[in-house]
Amino acid sequence: MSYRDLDQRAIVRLLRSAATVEPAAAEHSALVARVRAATFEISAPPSVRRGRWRTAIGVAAAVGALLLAIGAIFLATRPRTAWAQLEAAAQASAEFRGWVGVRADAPGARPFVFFDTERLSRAYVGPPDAKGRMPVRLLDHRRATDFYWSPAAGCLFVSDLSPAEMEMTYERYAKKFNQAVDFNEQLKNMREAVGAGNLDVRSERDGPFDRFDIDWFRRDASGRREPTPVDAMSYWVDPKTHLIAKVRHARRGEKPVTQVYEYNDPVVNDIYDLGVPRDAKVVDRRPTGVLKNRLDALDRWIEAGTGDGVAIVTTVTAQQDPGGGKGPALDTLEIYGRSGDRWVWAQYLVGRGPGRDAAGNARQRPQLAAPSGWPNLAPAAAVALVKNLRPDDLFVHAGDRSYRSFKGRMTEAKPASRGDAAYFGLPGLFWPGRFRLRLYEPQSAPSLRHEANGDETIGVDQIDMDSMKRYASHEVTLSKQTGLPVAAASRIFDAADVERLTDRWTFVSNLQTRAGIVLPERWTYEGSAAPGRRSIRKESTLRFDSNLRVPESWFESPVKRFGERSPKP
Amino acid sequence: MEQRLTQLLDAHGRGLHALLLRMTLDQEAAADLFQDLFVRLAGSAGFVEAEDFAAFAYRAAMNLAHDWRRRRRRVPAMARLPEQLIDPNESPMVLPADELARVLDAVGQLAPPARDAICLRYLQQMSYEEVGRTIGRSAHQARALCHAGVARVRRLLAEERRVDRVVP
Repeated sequence: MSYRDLDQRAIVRLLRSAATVEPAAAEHSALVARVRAATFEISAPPSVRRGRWRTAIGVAAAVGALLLAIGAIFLATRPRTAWAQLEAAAQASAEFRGWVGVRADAPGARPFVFFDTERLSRAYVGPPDAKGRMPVRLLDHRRATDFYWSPAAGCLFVSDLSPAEMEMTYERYAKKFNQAVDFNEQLKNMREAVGAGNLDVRSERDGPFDRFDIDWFRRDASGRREPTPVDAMSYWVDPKTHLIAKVRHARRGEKPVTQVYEYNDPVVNDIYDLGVPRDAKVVDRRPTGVLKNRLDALDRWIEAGTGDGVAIVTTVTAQQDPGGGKGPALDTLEIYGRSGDRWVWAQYLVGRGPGRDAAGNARQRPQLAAPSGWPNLAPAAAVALVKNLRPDDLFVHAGDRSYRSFKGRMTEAKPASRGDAAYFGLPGLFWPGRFRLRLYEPQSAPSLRHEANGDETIGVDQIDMDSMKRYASHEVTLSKQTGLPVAAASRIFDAADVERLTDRWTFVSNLQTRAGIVLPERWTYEGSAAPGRRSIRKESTLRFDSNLRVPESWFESPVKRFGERSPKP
Repeated sequence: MEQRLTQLLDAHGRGLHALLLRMTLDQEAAADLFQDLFVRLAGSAGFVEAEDFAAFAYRAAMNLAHDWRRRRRRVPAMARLPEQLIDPNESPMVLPADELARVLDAVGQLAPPARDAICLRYLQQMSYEEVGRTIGRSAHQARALCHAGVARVRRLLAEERRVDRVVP
């Protein structure tokens, strides 16, 4: 991504631009309904809850009858017909397979996003720079390639598309990220959120289109409808294609937002169909030859994982930096457990009082004091030690779902991706492969360097694609004998290309499990900020026990396992 | 308690949800945090006793969002394209959203009064009087916190241009 220098005005402008972001009304209403159900059940004391249940059972029949009556009235009225027609159009639009372009409803407006509803390729256009030129990003799932056209640099940058992105499906994307491309989902949420009785649906002919207007009403505490709708949606359907051509969303008191949908106009066969000059200079950053072979071998080591068992990583701070008043850097205990295709990573802070966590966040409370003999700890002893402790950070992949961070997900999350495994699994958490080297981004330029002792270093420079200035670099040095990492580094540069932040890892030794899997065993980390400023040194050791398993409860939802925390303020 | 929560949900639910969305730039995360927020408030003695319970809720929401942002640094960039959040009429795209995320990360590094003042003023478009009321300061102090906070954010961005220093 393009990281330009920001002055104070630009920072404020950026922050203010986020103020236009609003949650979709349907989503908010659904969320409020969930919150009401969850919160009020929790907030009531047990006796009240029991009383509520008795009341609920008592009125259940009446409510059921009322709902039937409301349903009958709703089905018998005109809105049913209009709603049914709109649902049919939403169904047809959701089933459309091809390219859908979305643009603002303004003369001459160009689509700002394109979706390939068959394969989930996506393209983003704009915003224009000072000269009115618009960058284009194409995530091409057919070619597994990531393209970025920079008009400022006059170059088309090309990289491999991330496997994590390749795992994404249209259905998952539409549901999770952009309901506007799946109108079925949108209508379903709308009706579930506000209830059929709180929607007014009208239809009329509007030029060449059939227009459907939906007003959403809120009810007050007494159950009475508010006189004016809180939200209004309008859909325009093309009667020839039965596809939704335009959608307008108007929130009470706010400027309406209108989007126009165009189907297979254009079909995006390649990035040149999006206005990129065909004679543009191509900068292909996909690794080839020896470099590709080294990366493939490295990723194979990483993807081999650990096999079933438990690994623990103890990290102690060998040399503290002043910390700028943020307290001491805390030691950490990381536990990684794998059983079949399920795995869990949990991190615990170790120390006597508050300090900095692994990411440098200040005022973090440790979960445990250093046990006797620390950091010499057997995996079984470590698992027993943290049995009832809430970790500082957590990632759980339970096969068909995953839970990220200690807070976990209230709702079911998708399974972990290959990217998640590279960031939270072993040995990828410590040996940097393609993901951690940031190779799946078109601004990343990889290279291979031969060291004097025969070792080879894979380096990746991250370069601003508009200014062509380097802003970060990552590298890993591979042993000539084994092909395994012996060192890694990550650097951040300022606008003058001066190194401001440096992280270095030196891998001292590896261990081999009985199954023949190789893992890093001991390594050091050194971090420093700007010449002459802060520096810190940590030492880590990994121990692995293939006969040990983490308790089954570790694969459950963290919310279920740990319950809730009280709020902070 | 239930009455307070109902009042909060009705009067400030949308504002709190919007604030979480603006701070996380992630619909799903915002929804999770919103739900998390109310569950936590329901068990909080501080919420019951708070003189201004809406201000208490806003501060709790901002703490949750900042915690989320800190932990989020471990997630690969590809998984967080935030294009779905942007108003098409503003002719937007991925680049400013990514830049915005970078600025929000820097805001998260400020001390609580300044970071809360900035979020309420610029993300939530509150007046300085409202900002002051919410963070327990005067309007004048809120204005000063915003000004100094933005200057500090600029220095942080210029100094560190951070991408992700947690891992290589």
